[in-house]
Amino acid sequence: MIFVQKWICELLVVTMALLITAEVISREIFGHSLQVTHEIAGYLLVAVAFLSIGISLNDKALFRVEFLFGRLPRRGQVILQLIFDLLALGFSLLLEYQLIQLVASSYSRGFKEATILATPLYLPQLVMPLGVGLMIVVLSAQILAGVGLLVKNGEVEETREESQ
Amino acid sequence: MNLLGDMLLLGGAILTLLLSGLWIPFGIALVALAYLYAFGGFSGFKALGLVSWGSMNSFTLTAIPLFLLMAELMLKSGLSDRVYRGLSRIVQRLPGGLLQTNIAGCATFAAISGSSVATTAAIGTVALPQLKERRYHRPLSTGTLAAGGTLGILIPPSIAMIIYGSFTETSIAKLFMAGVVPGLILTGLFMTYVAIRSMLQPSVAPQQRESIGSRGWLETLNDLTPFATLIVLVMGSLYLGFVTPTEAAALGCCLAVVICAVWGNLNVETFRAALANTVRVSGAILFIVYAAFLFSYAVGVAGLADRLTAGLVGLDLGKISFLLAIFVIFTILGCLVESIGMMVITVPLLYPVLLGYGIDPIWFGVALVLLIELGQITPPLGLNLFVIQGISSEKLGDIVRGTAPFYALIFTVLGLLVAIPELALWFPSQMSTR
Repeated sequence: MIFVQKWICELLVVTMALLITAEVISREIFGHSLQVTHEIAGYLLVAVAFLSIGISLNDKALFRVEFLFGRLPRRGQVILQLIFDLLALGFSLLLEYQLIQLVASSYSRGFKEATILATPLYLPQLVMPLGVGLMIVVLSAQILAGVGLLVKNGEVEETREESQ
Repeated sequence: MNLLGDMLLLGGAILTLLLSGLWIPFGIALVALAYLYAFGGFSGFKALGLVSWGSMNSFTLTAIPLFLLMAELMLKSGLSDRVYRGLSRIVQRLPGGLLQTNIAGCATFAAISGSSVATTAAIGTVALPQLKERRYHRPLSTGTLAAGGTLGILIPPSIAMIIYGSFTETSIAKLFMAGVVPGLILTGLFMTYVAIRSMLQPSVAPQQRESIGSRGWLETLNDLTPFATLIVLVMGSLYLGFVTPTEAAALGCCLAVVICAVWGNLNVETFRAALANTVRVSGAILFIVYAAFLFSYAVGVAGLADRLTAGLVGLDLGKISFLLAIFVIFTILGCLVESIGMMVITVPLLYPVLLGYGIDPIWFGVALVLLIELGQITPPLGLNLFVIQGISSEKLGDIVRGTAPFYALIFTVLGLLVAIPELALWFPSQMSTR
Protein backbone atom coordinates (compact mmCIF):
# COMPACT_ATOMS: atom_id res chain seq x y z
CA MET A 1 0.00 0.00 0.00
CA ILE A 2 2.84 2.39 0.90
CA PHE A 3 4.37 1.59 -2.49
CA VAL A 4 1.23 2.84 -4.28
CA GLN A 5 1.07 5.88 -2.00
CA LYS A 6 4.69 6.76 -2.86
CA TRP A 7 4.06 6.29 -6.55
CA ILE A 8 1.02 8.58 -6.43
CA CYS A 9 2.90 11.29 -4.51
CA GLU A 10 5.80 11.17 -6.99
CA LEU A 11 3.34 11.53 -9.86
CA LEU A 12 1.66 14.47 -8.11
CA VAL A 13 4.99 16.30 -7.67
CA VAL A 14 5.86 15.80 -11.35
CA THR A 15 2.40 17.04 -12.38
CA MET A 16 2.86 20.08 -10.14
CA ALA A 17 6.20 20.97 -11.77
CA LEU A 18 4.88 20.48 -15.32
CA LEU A 19 1.64 22.39 -14.74
CA ILE A 20 3.33 25.44 -13.20
CA THR A 21 6.03 25.47 -15.89
CA ALA A 22 3.31 25.31 -18.54
CA GLU A 23 1.70 28.34 -16.91
CA VAL A 24 4.99 30.30 -17.05
CA ILE A 25 5.57 29.39 -20.71
CA SER A 26 1.99 30.13 -21.69
CA ARG A 27 2.02 33.50 -19.93
CA GLU A 28 5.51 34.70 -20.88
CA ILE A 29 5.62 33.37 -24.45
CA PHE A 30 2.00 33.19 -25.62
CA GLY A 31 0.77 36.06 -23.49
CA HIS A 32 -2.15 34.41 -21.71
CA SER A 33 -2.53 32.61 -18.41
CA LEU A 34 -3.95 29.09 -18.14
CA GLN A 35 -6.23 30.51 -15.38
CA VAL A 36 -6.43 27.20 -13.49
CA THR A 37 -2.83 26.71 -12.38
CA HIS A 38 -3.02 28.28 -8.91
CA GLU A 39 -6.17 26.37 -8.09
CA ILE A 40 -4.96 22.96 -9.26
CA ALA A 41 -1.44 23.40 -7.82
CA GLY A 42 -3.02 24.17 -4.44
CA TYR A 43 -5.05 20.93 -4.63
CA LEU A 44 -1.93 19.01 -5.62
CA LEU A 45 -0.05 20.41 -2.63
CA VAL A 46 -2.84 19.38 -0.25
CA ALA A 47 -2.69 15.89 -1.76
CA VAL A 48 1.12 15.65 -1.53
CA ALA A 49 1.14 17.03 2.03
CA PHE A 50 -1.49 14.67 3.41
CA LEU A 51 -0.52 11.55 1.45
CA SER A 52 3.20 11.91 2.20
CA ILE A 53 2.81 12.12 5.99
CA GLY A 54 2.14 8.37 6.16
CA ILE A 55 5.17 7.75 3.93
CA SER A 56 7.49 9.87 6.09
CA LEU A 57 6.12 8.20 9.22
CA ASN A 58 6.59 4.74 7.73
CA ASP A 59 10.13 5.56 6.50
CA LYS A 60 11.02 7.10 9.89
CA ALA A 61 11.75 10.42 8.19
CA LEU A 62 9.72 12.64 10.53
CA PHE A 63 11.91 14.99 12.56
CA ARG A 64 12.31 14.25 16.25
CA VAL A 65 14.69 15.05 19.08
CA GLU A 66 16.51 11.81 19.86
CA PHE A 67 19.31 12.62 22.26
CA LEU A 68 17.33 11.77 25.42
CA PHE A 69 15.20 9.05 23.80
CA GLY A 70 18.34 7.34 22.48
CA ARG A 71 19.82 7.12 25.98
CA LEU A 72 16.90 5.06 27.35
CA PRO A 73 17.26 1.27 27.70
CA ARG A 74 15.70 -0.71 24.84
CA ARG A 75 12.56 -1.65 26.79
CA GLY A 76 12.08 1.96 27.90
CA GLN A 77 12.33 3.08 24.27
CA VAL A 78 9.69 0.56 23.18
CA ILE A 79 7.31 1.65 25.96
CA LEU A 80 7.83 5.39 25.32
CA GLN A 81 7.44 4.84 21.57
CA LEU A 82 4.18 3.03 22.24
CA ILE A 83 2.95 6.03 24.27
CA PHE A 84 3.96 8.37 21.40
CA ASP A 85 2.18 6.17 18.86
CA LEU A 86 -0.97 6.19 21.00
CA LEU A 87 -0.84 9.99 21.40
CA ALA A 88 -0.34 10.39 17.65
CA LEU A 89 -3.20 7.97 17.00
CA GLY A 90 -5.49 9.96 19.30
CA PHE A 91 -4.64 13.16 17.42
CA SER A 92 -5.11 11.46 14.06
CA LEU A 93 -8.51 10.01 14.98
CA LEU A 94 -9.77 13.38 16.19
CA LEU A 95 -8.44 15.05 13.04
CA GLU A 96 -9.95 12.33 10.84
CA TYR A 97 -13.36 12.92 12.40
CA GLN A 98 -13.15 16.69 11.85
CA LEU A 99 -11.92 16.28 8.26
CA ILE A 100 -14.74 13.86 7.42
CA GLN A 101 -17.18 16.40 8.88
CA LEU A 102 -15.69 19.09 6.62
CA VAL A 103 -15.95 16.95 3.48
CA ALA A 104 -19.50 15.88 4.35
CA SER A 105 -20.49 19.49 4.92
CA SER A 106 -18.93 20.65 1.62
CA TYR A 107 -20.76 17.81 -0.18
CA SER A 108 -24.17 18.32 1.40
CA ARG A 109 -24.10 22.09 0.94
CA GLY A 110 -22.81 21.78 -2.61
CA PHE A 111 -19.86 24.17 -2.01
CA LYS A 112 -17.92 25.01 -5.17
CA GLU A 113 -14.67 26.92 -5.72
CA ALA A 114 -15.40 30.41 -7.12
CA THR A 115 -13.18 29.82 -10.17
CA ILE A 116 -13.58 28.94 -13.85
CA LEU A 117 -13.42 25.25 -12.99
CA ALA A 118 -16.09 25.64 -10.28
CA THR A 119 -14.62 22.54 -8.62
CA PRO A 120 -16.94 20.91 -6.08
CA LEU A 121 -14.88 21.47 -2.92
CA TYR A 122 -15.50 18.02 -1.44
CA LEU A 123 -13.45 16.42 -4.23
CA PRO A 124 -10.02 17.92 -3.49
CA GLN A 125 -10.86 17.95 0.23
CA LEU A 126 -11.40 14.19 0.20
CA VAL A 127 -7.67 13.57 -0.02
CA MET A 128 -7.19 15.00 3.51
CA PRO A 129 -9.20 12.31 5.38
CA LEU A 130 -7.73 9.76 2.97
CA GLY A 131 -4.15 10.78 3.88
CA VAL A 132 -4.90 10.90 7.61
CA GLY A 133 -6.65 7.52 7.29
CA LEU A 134 -3.50 6.02 5.78
CA MET A 135 -1.46 7.60 8.59
CA ILE A 136 -3.82 5.89 11.08
CA VAL A 137 -3.10 2.56 9.37
CA VAL A 138 0.69 3.11 9.67
CA LEU A 139 0.34 4.16 13.33
CA SER A 140 -1.88 1.15 14.13
CA ALA A 141 0.68 -1.17 12.55
CA GLN A 142 3.44 0.46 14.64
CA ILE A 143 1.36 0.09 17.83
CA LEU A 144 0.72 -3.60 17.12
CA ALA A 145 4.43 -4.12 16.43
CA GLY A 146 5.34 -2.30 19.68
CA VAL A 147 2.89 -4.36 21.76
CA GLY A 148 4.17 -7.53 20.08
CA LEU A 149 7.74 -6.57 20.97
CA LEU A 150 6.83 -5.89 24.61
CA VAL A 151 4.95 -9.21 24.97
CA LYS A 152 7.81 -11.11 23.30
CA ASN A 153 10.44 -9.43 25.49
CA GLY A 154 8.31 -10.14 28.57
CA GLU A 155 8.16 -13.83 27.62
CA VAL A 156 11.92 -13.93 27.03
CA GLU A 157 12.56 -12.34 30.44
CA GLU A 158 10.15 -14.77 32.17
CA THR A 159 11.88 -17.74 30.48
CA ARG A 160 15.26 -16.36 31.60
CA GLU A 161 14.07 -16.02 35.20
CA GLU A 162 12.62 -19.57 35.17
CA SER A 163 15.85 -21.07 33.79
CA GLN A 164 17.86 -19.28 36.48
CA MET B 1 -4.25 32.85 33.86
CA ASN B 2 -1.70 35.61 33.46
CA LEU B 3 0.46 36.01 30.37
CA LEU B 4 3.64 34.71 32.00
CA GLY B 5 1.84 31.64 33.33
CA ASP B 6 0.33 30.95 29.89
CA MET B 7 3.68 31.30 28.15
CA LEU B 8 5.45 29.06 30.69
CA LEU B 9 2.75 26.41 30.41
CA LEU B 10 2.79 26.51 26.62
CA GLY B 11 6.59 26.52 26.32
CA GLY B 12 6.94 23.85 29.01
CA ALA B 13 4.40 21.55 27.33
CA ILE B 14 6.04 21.86 23.92
CA LEU B 15 9.58 21.40 25.21
CA THR B 16 8.59 18.38 27.36
CA LEU B 17 6.91 16.64 24.45
CA LEU B 18 9.65 17.44 21.95
CA LEU B 19 12.61 16.69 24.22
CA SER B 20 11.11 13.36 25.25
CA GLY B 21 11.38 12.32 21.61
CA LEU B 22 7.85 12.68 20.20
CA TRP B 23 7.88 13.54 16.50
CA ILE B 24 8.00 17.33 16.25
CA PRO B 25 4.80 17.88 14.21
CA PHE B 26 2.76 15.62 16.51
CA GLY B 27 4.18 17.46 19.52
CA ILE B 28 3.20 20.86 18.14
CA ALA B 29 -0.25 19.63 17.03
CA LEU B 30 -1.04 18.00 20.38
CA VAL B 31 -0.20 21.18 22.27
CA ALA B 32 -2.42 23.10 19.82
CA LEU B 33 -5.30 20.70 20.49
CA ALA B 34 -4.79 20.92 24.27
CA TYR B 35 -4.84 24.71 24.01
CA LEU B 36 -8.01 24.68 21.91
CA TYR B 37 -9.67 22.31 24.38
CA ALA B 38 -8.66 24.48 27.33
CA PHE B 39 -10.26 27.54 25.75
CA GLY B 40 -13.33 26.10 24.08
CA GLY B 41 -13.85 22.47 25.13
CA PHE B 42 -14.74 20.03 22.33
CA SER B 43 -16.37 22.78 20.30
CA GLY B 44 -12.87 24.30 19.99
CA PHE B 45 -12.04 21.50 17.54
CA LYS B 46 -14.88 22.29 15.15
CA ALA B 47 -12.83 24.54 12.89
CA LEU B 48 -9.94 22.05 12.52
CA GLY B 49 -11.17 20.88 9.12
CA LEU B 50 -11.49 24.39 7.72
CA VAL B 51 -8.12 25.44 9.18
CA SER B 52 -6.51 22.35 7.60
CA TRP B 53 -7.96 23.12 4.19
CA GLY B 54 -7.33 26.86 4.36
CA SER B 55 -3.71 26.49 5.43
CA MET B 56 -2.51 23.73 3.13
CA ASN B 57 -4.44 24.71 -0.02
CA SER B 58 -1.59 27.05 -0.85
CA PHE B 59 0.14 27.84 -4.13
CA THR B 60 3.07 29.39 -2.20
CA LEU B 61 3.89 26.26 -0.23
CA THR B 62 4.06 24.30 -3.49
CA ALA B 63 7.58 25.74 -3.79
CA ILE B 64 8.80 23.46 -0.97
CA PRO B 65 8.56 20.07 -2.73
CA LEU B 66 9.63 21.66 -6.02
CA PHE B 67 12.82 23.26 -4.70
CA LEU B 68 13.58 19.99 -2.90
CA LEU B 69 13.17 18.11 -6.19
CA MET B 70 15.41 20.54 -8.08
CA ALA B 71 18.29 20.01 -5.63
CA GLU B 72 17.72 16.24 -5.46
CA LEU B 73 17.94 15.96 -9.24
CA MET B 74 21.28 17.80 -9.33
CA LEU B 75 22.58 15.68 -6.44
CA LYS B 76 21.45 12.27 -7.68
CA SER B 77 22.72 12.97 -11.21
CA GLY B 78 26.26 13.46 -9.90
CA LEU B 79 26.44 17.16 -10.76
CA SER B 80 27.38 18.19 -7.21
CA ASP B 81 30.56 16.08 -7.67
CA ARG B 82 31.38 18.01 -10.79
CA VAL B 83 30.77 21.45 -9.28
CA TYR B 84 33.07 20.52 -6.38
CA ARG B 85 35.77 19.36 -8.80
CA GLY B 86 35.44 22.52 -10.90
CA LEU B 87 35.51 24.85 -7.90
CA SER B 88 38.48 23.02 -6.37
CA ARG B 89 40.59 23.87 -9.46
CA ILE B 90 39.68 27.55 -9.14
CA VAL B 91 40.08 28.10 -5.40
CA GLN B 92 43.02 25.69 -4.85
CA ARG B 93 45.41 28.63 -5.03
CA LEU B 94 43.83 30.28 -2.01
CA PRO B 95 45.31 29.42 1.39
CA GLY B 96 43.27 26.50 2.66
CA GLY B 97 42.96 24.64 -0.66
CA LEU B 98 40.12 22.14 -0.52
CA LEU B 99 38.79 23.69 2.70
CA GLN B 100 38.02 26.77 0.61
CA THR B 101 36.33 24.50 -1.93
CA ASN B 102 34.09 23.19 0.87
CA ILE B 103 32.79 26.70 1.54
CA ALA B 104 32.57 27.74 -2.13
CA GLY B 105 30.91 24.40 -2.98
CA CYS B 106 28.32 24.80 -0.23
CA ALA B 107 27.60 28.41 -1.29
CA THR B 108 27.11 27.29 -4.91
CA PHE B 109 24.93 24.32 -4.00
CA ALA B 110 22.97 26.64 -1.68
CA ALA B 111 22.00 28.67 -4.72
CA ILE B 112 19.94 25.73 -6.04
CA SER B 113 19.01 24.14 -2.72
CA GLY B 114 16.64 25.44 -0.06
CA SER B 115 17.82 23.13 2.67
CA SER B 116 20.99 23.27 4.75
CA VAL B 117 20.88 19.54 5.46
CA ALA B 118 20.74 18.78 1.72
CA THR B 119 23.61 21.21 1.07
CA THR B 120 25.75 19.69 3.82
CA ALA B 121 25.03 16.16 2.62
CA ALA B 122 25.61 16.98 -1.06
CA ILE B 123 29.00 18.64 -0.63
CA GLY B 124 30.04 16.56 2.40
CA THR B 125 29.63 13.29 0.50
CA VAL B 126 31.88 14.49 -2.32
CA ALA B 127 34.42 16.36 -0.19
CA LEU B 128 35.14 14.17 2.84
CA PRO B 129 36.83 11.24 1.05
CA GLN B 130 39.16 13.67 -0.76
CA LEU B 131 39.94 15.64 2.40
CA LYS B 132 40.74 12.41 4.23
CA GLU B 133 42.93 11.10 1.42
CA ARG B 134 44.93 14.34 1.29
CA ARG B 135 45.25 14.43 5.08
CA TYR B 136 43.51 17.73 5.77
CA HIS B 137 42.91 18.71 9.41
CA ARG B 138 39.89 16.61 10.37
CA PRO B 139 38.02 18.94 12.74
CA LEU B 140 38.39 21.85 10.29
CA SER B 141 37.40 19.65 7.33
CA THR B 142 34.17 18.64 9.03
CA GLY B 143 33.66 22.11 10.52
CA THR B 144 33.84 23.88 7.14
CA LEU B 145 31.27 21.44 5.75
CA ALA B 146 28.82 21.63 8.66
CA ALA B 147 29.06 25.43 8.77
CA GLY B 148 29.18 25.85 4.97
CA GLY B 149 26.00 23.77 4.74
CA THR B 150 24.11 26.38 6.76
CA LEU B 151 24.43 28.70 3.76
CA GLY B 152 21.77 26.45 2.18
CA ILE B 153 18.96 28.35 3.89
CA LEU B 154 20.46 31.85 3.68
CA ILE B 155 21.44 31.97 0.01
CA PRO B 156 18.22 31.67 -2.01
CA PRO B 157 16.21 29.54 -2.53
CA SER B 158 15.38 28.85 1.11
CA ILE B 159 12.70 26.59 2.55
CA ALA B 160 12.96 28.39 5.89
CA MET B 161 12.15 31.68 4.13
CA ILE B 162 9.21 30.11 2.25
CA ILE B 163 7.75 28.94 5.55
CA TYR B 164 8.43 32.28 7.26
CA GLY B 165 6.89 34.14 4.31
CA SER B 166 3.79 31.93 4.36
CA PHE B 167 3.16 32.59 8.04
CA THR B 168 3.84 36.31 7.96
CA GLU B 169 2.49 37.02 4.45
CA THR B 170 5.81 38.60 3.58
CA SER B 171 7.00 38.58 -0.06
CA ILE B 172 9.04 35.40 -0.45
CA ALA B 173 10.77 36.77 -3.56
CA LYS B 174 11.99 39.76 -1.51
CA LEU B 175 13.02 37.50 1.36
CA PHE B 176 15.06 35.41 -1.07
CA MET B 177 16.84 38.47 -2.43
CA ALA B 178 17.39 39.83 1.09
CA GLY B 179 19.44 36.72 1.83
CA VAL B 180 21.86 37.26 -1.06
CA VAL B 181 24.17 39.97 0.35
CA PRO B 182 24.36 38.54 3.93
CA GLY B 183 24.91 35.10 2.34
CA LEU B 184 27.83 36.39 0.28
CA ILE B 185 29.27 38.24 3.28
CA LEU B 186 29.04 35.10 5.40
CA THR B 187 30.68 33.05 2.62
CA GLY B 188 33.46 35.66 2.43
CA LEU B 189 33.96 35.60 6.20
CA PHE B 190 34.08 31.80 6.27
CA MET B 191 36.68 31.78 3.48
CA THR B 192 38.72 34.55 5.12
CA TYR B 193 38.79 32.63 8.39
CA VAL B 194 39.94 29.46 6.61
CA ALA B 195 42.66 31.44 4.78
CA ILE B 196 43.98 33.09 7.96
CA ARG B 197 43.89 29.83 9.91
CA SER B 198 45.74 28.02 7.09
CA MET B 199 48.43 30.70 6.94
CA LEU B 200 48.92 30.68 10.73
CA GLN B 201 48.78 26.90 10.96
CA PRO B 202 49.87 25.47 7.58
CA SER B 203 49.47 21.85 8.74
CA VAL B 204 45.66 22.14 8.63
CA ALA B 205 45.69 22.34 4.81
CA PRO B 206 48.47 20.61 2.86
CA GLN B 207 49.56 22.60 -0.21
CA GLN B 208 48.84 20.56 -3.33
CA ARG B 209 48.71 22.95 -6.21
CA GLU B 210 48.20 21.38 -9.59
CA SER B 211 48.87 23.45 -12.68
CA ILE B 212 45.82 23.82 -14.87
CA GLY B 213 46.43 23.82 -18.59
CA SER B 214 44.02 25.19 -21.15
CA ARG B 215 42.38 21.75 -21.25
CA GLY B 216 41.95 21.94 -17.47
CA TRP B 217 40.23 25.31 -17.70
CA LEU B 218 37.87 23.93 -20.34
CA GLU B 219 37.02 21.00 -18.08
CA THR B 220 36.47 23.45 -15.21
CA LEU B 221 34.14 25.49 -17.36
CA ASN B 222 32.27 22.35 -18.31
CA ASP B 223 32.00 21.30 -14.65
CA LEU B 224 30.61 24.65 -13.52
CA THR B 225 28.27 25.34 -16.44
CA PRO B 226 25.37 23.11 -15.25
CA PHE B 227 25.07 24.85 -11.89
CA ALA B 228 25.75 28.30 -13.32
CA THR B 229 23.03 27.82 -15.96
CA LEU B 230 20.45 26.70 -13.43
CA ILE B 231 21.29 29.44 -10.92
CA VAL B 232 21.25 32.22 -13.52
CA LEU B 233 17.99 31.08 -15.15
CA VAL B 234 16.06 30.33 -11.96
CA MET B 235 17.26 33.17 -9.74
CA GLY B 236 17.58 35.58 -12.67
CA SER B 237 13.97 35.10 -13.74
CA LEU B 238 12.88 35.59 -10.13
CA TYR B 239 14.98 38.74 -9.68
CA LEU B 240 13.72 40.22 -12.95
CA GLY B 241 10.15 39.55 -11.88
CA PHE B 242 9.26 37.13 -14.69
CA VAL B 243 8.22 34.47 -12.20
CA THR B 244 7.07 34.05 -8.61
CA PRO B 245 9.17 31.88 -6.24
CA THR B 246 6.85 28.90 -6.77
CA GLU B 247 7.06 29.29 -10.54
CA ALA B 248 10.85 29.61 -10.28
CA ALA B 249 10.89 26.30 -8.40
CA ALA B 250 8.78 24.52 -11.03
CA LEU B 251 10.78 25.99 -13.89
CA GLY B 252 13.95 25.00 -12.02
CA CYS B 253 12.79 21.37 -11.82
CA CYS B 254 12.16 21.19 -15.57
CA LEU B 255 15.47 22.93 -16.34
CA ALA B 256 17.27 20.62 -13.90
CA VAL B 257 15.92 17.57 -15.76
CA VAL B 258 17.32 18.92 -19.05
CA ILE B 259 20.65 19.94 -17.45
CA CYS B 260 21.02 16.61 -15.65
CA ALA B 261 20.26 14.72 -18.88
CA VAL B 262 22.89 16.71 -20.78
CA TRP B 263 25.68 16.96 -18.16
CA GLY B 264 24.80 14.37 -15.50
CA ASN B 265 23.83 10.71 -15.38
CA LEU B 266 20.07 11.18 -15.23
CA ASN B 267 18.14 8.01 -15.98
CA VAL B 268 14.87 6.49 -14.81
CA GLU B 269 16.54 5.08 -11.70
CA THR B 270 18.16 8.35 -10.55
CA PHE B 271 14.99 10.29 -11.43
CA ARG B 272 12.87 7.96 -9.29
CA ALA B 273 15.42 8.11 -6.47
CA ALA B 274 15.30 11.93 -6.54
CA LEU B 275 11.50 11.87 -6.53
CA ALA B 276 11.31 9.33 -3.70
CA ASN B 277 13.55 11.41 -1.44
CA THR B 278 11.64 14.57 -2.37
CA VAL B 279 8.36 12.99 -1.27
CA ARG B 280 9.86 11.64 1.97
CA VAL B 281 11.40 14.98 3.00
CA SER B 282 8.38 16.98 1.77
CA GLY B 283 6.15 14.86 4.01
CA ALA B 284 8.35 15.62 7.03
CA ILE B 285 8.55 19.38 6.35
CA LEU B 286 4.95 19.95 5.23
CA PHE B 287 3.66 18.09 8.28
CA ILE B 288 5.57 20.49 10.53
CA VAL B 289 4.16 23.44 8.58
CA TYR B 290 0.64 22.01 8.89
CA ALA B 291 1.01 21.39 12.63
CA ALA B 292 2.33 24.94 12.98
CA PHE B 293 -0.78 26.32 11.25
CA LEU B 294 -2.93 24.44 13.79
CA PHE B 295 -0.76 25.89 16.56
CA SER B 296 -1.02 29.36 15.09
CA TYR B 297 -4.82 29.00 14.95
CA ALA B 298 -4.91 27.82 18.58
CA VAL B 299 -2.83 30.69 19.95
CA GLY B 300 -4.86 33.06 17.77
CA VAL B 301 -8.16 31.81 19.20
CA ALA B 302 -6.77 32.21 22.71
CA GLY B 303 -5.58 35.72 21.86
CA LEU B 304 -2.15 34.83 23.19
CA ALA B 305 -0.18 36.60 20.45
CA ASP B 306 -2.11 39.84 21.04
CA ARG B 307 -1.55 39.63 24.79
CA LEU B 308 2.13 38.88 24.29
CA THR B 309 2.45 41.88 21.97
CA ALA B 310 0.73 44.17 24.44
CA GLY B 311 2.81 42.76 27.29
CA LEU B 312 6.18 43.07 25.56
CA VAL B 313 5.52 46.49 24.02
CA GLY B 314 4.29 47.60 27.46
CA LEU B 315 7.68 46.68 28.94
CA ASP B 316 9.06 49.66 27.04
CA LEU B 317 12.23 47.87 25.99
CA GLY B 318 14.24 49.71 23.36
CA LYS B 319 14.33 48.13 19.91
CA ILE B 320 17.92 46.93 20.33
CA SER B 321 17.27 45.48 23.80
CA PHE B 322 14.22 43.70 22.41
CA LEU B 323 16.23 42.27 19.51
CA LEU B 324 19.01 41.18 21.85
CA ALA B 325 16.46 39.40 24.04
CA ILE B 326 15.03 37.67 20.96
CA PHE B 327 18.51 36.62 19.78
CA VAL B 328 19.32 35.14 23.21
CA ILE B 329 16.01 33.25 23.32
CA PHE B 330 16.54 31.84 19.80
CA THR B 331 20.13 30.85 20.56
CA ILE B 332 18.97 28.91 23.62
CA LEU B 333 16.00 27.41 21.76
CA GLY B 334 18.35 26.38 18.95
CA CYS B 335 20.10 24.08 21.43
CA LEU B 336 16.82 22.44 22.42
CA VAL B 337 14.48 22.32 19.42
CA GLU B 338 14.99 21.38 15.77
CA SER B 339 15.42 24.57 13.72
CA ILE B 340 12.31 24.61 11.52
CA GLY B 341 10.28 23.51 14.53
CA MET B 342 11.73 26.41 16.52
CA MET B 343 10.76 28.85 13.78
CA VAL B 344 7.17 27.70 13.35
CA ILE B 345 6.47 27.69 17.09
CA THR B 346 7.80 31.17 17.66
CA VAL B 347 6.88 33.14 14.53
CA PRO B 348 3.07 33.11 15.03
CA LEU B 349 3.64 34.47 18.54
CA LEU B 350 6.39 36.93 17.74
CA TYR B 351 5.28 38.38 14.44
CA PRO B 352 2.69 40.82 15.88
CA VAL B 353 5.29 41.92 18.45
CA LEU B 354 7.77 42.69 15.66
CA LEU B 355 5.20 44.86 13.95
CA GLY B 356 4.54 46.57 17.28
CA TYR B 357 8.25 47.47 17.45
CA GLY B 358 8.30 48.62 13.83
CA ILE B 359 10.80 45.93 12.81
CA ASP B 360 10.91 45.22 9.08
CA PRO B 361 9.59 41.67 8.51
CA ILE B 362 11.99 41.09 5.60
CA TRP B 363 14.97 42.14 7.70
CA PHE B 364 13.77 39.95 10.57
CA GLY B 365 13.33 37.01 8.17
CA VAL B 366 17.04 37.16 7.32
CA ALA B 367 18.05 37.57 10.99
CA LEU B 368 15.83 34.61 11.88
CA VAL B 369 17.46 32.47 9.20
CA LEU B 370 20.89 33.32 10.65
CA LEU B 371 19.64 32.23 14.07
CA ILE B 372 18.30 29.02 12.56
CA GLU B 373 21.73 28.48 10.99
CA LEU B 374 23.23 28.65 14.45
CA GLY B 375 20.73 26.04 15.61
CA GLN B 376 21.78 23.77 12.71
CA ILE B 377 25.35 23.59 14.06
CA THR B 378 24.63 23.76 17.82
CA PRO B 379 24.91 20.52 19.77
CA PRO B 380 23.06 18.46 20.86
CA LEU B 381 20.49 18.92 18.06
CA GLY B 382 22.34 20.57 15.18
CA LEU B 383 21.25 18.48 12.21
CA ASN B 384 24.27 19.48 10.10
CA LEU B 385 26.61 18.06 12.73
CA PHE B 386 24.87 14.70 12.52
CA VAL B 387 24.84 14.70 8.72
CA ILE B 388 28.62 15.20 8.71
CA GLN B 389 29.10 12.65 11.47
CA GLY B 390 27.06 10.16 9.44
CA ILE B 391 29.26 10.66 6.38
CA SER B 392 32.66 11.01 8.08
CA SER B 393 32.32 8.71 11.13
CA GLU B 394 34.36 11.31 13.06
CA LYS B 395 33.71 11.96 16.75
CA LEU B 396 30.93 14.49 17.34
CA GLY B 397 33.26 16.41 19.69
CA ASP B 398 35.81 16.90 16.88
CA ILE B 399 33.13 18.12 14.49
CA VAL B 400 31.81 20.58 17.10
CA ARG B 401 35.38 21.79 17.73
CA GLY B 402 35.86 22.42 14.01
CA THR B 403 32.52 24.19 13.72
CA ALA B 404 32.83 26.46 16.79
CA PRO B 405 34.78 29.31 15.11
CA PHE B 406 32.08 29.59 12.42
CA TYR B 407 29.53 30.09 15.15
CA ALA B 408 31.28 33.35 16.02
CA LEU B 409 31.26 34.38 12.34
CA ILE B 410 27.50 33.87 12.07
CA PHE B 411 27.07 36.10 15.14
CA THR B 412 29.32 38.67 13.45
CA VAL B 413 27.00 38.81 10.44
CA LEU B 414 24.01 39.07 12.78
CA GLY B 415 25.69 42.06 14.45
CA LEU B 416 26.42 43.62 11.06
CA LEU B 417 22.80 43.16 10.10
CA VAL B 418 21.64 44.99 13.22
CA ALA B 419 24.13 47.80 12.63
CA ILE B 420 23.48 48.09 8.88
CA PRO B 421 19.97 46.80 8.03
CA GLU B 422 20.52 47.82 4.37
CA LEU B 423 22.77 44.76 4.00
CA ALA B 424 19.53 42.78 3.82
CA LEU B 425 17.14 45.43 2.56
CA TRP B 426 19.04 47.05 -0.31
CA PHE B 427 19.05 44.18 -2.80
CA PRO B 428 15.31 43.38 -2.59
CA SER B 429 14.54 47.08 -3.04
CA GLN B 430 16.20 46.92 -6.48
CA MET B 431 14.18 44.00 -7.85
CA SER B 432 11.08 43.97 -10.00
CA THR B 433 8.27 41.90 -8.53
CA ARG B 434 5.31 40.24 -10.08
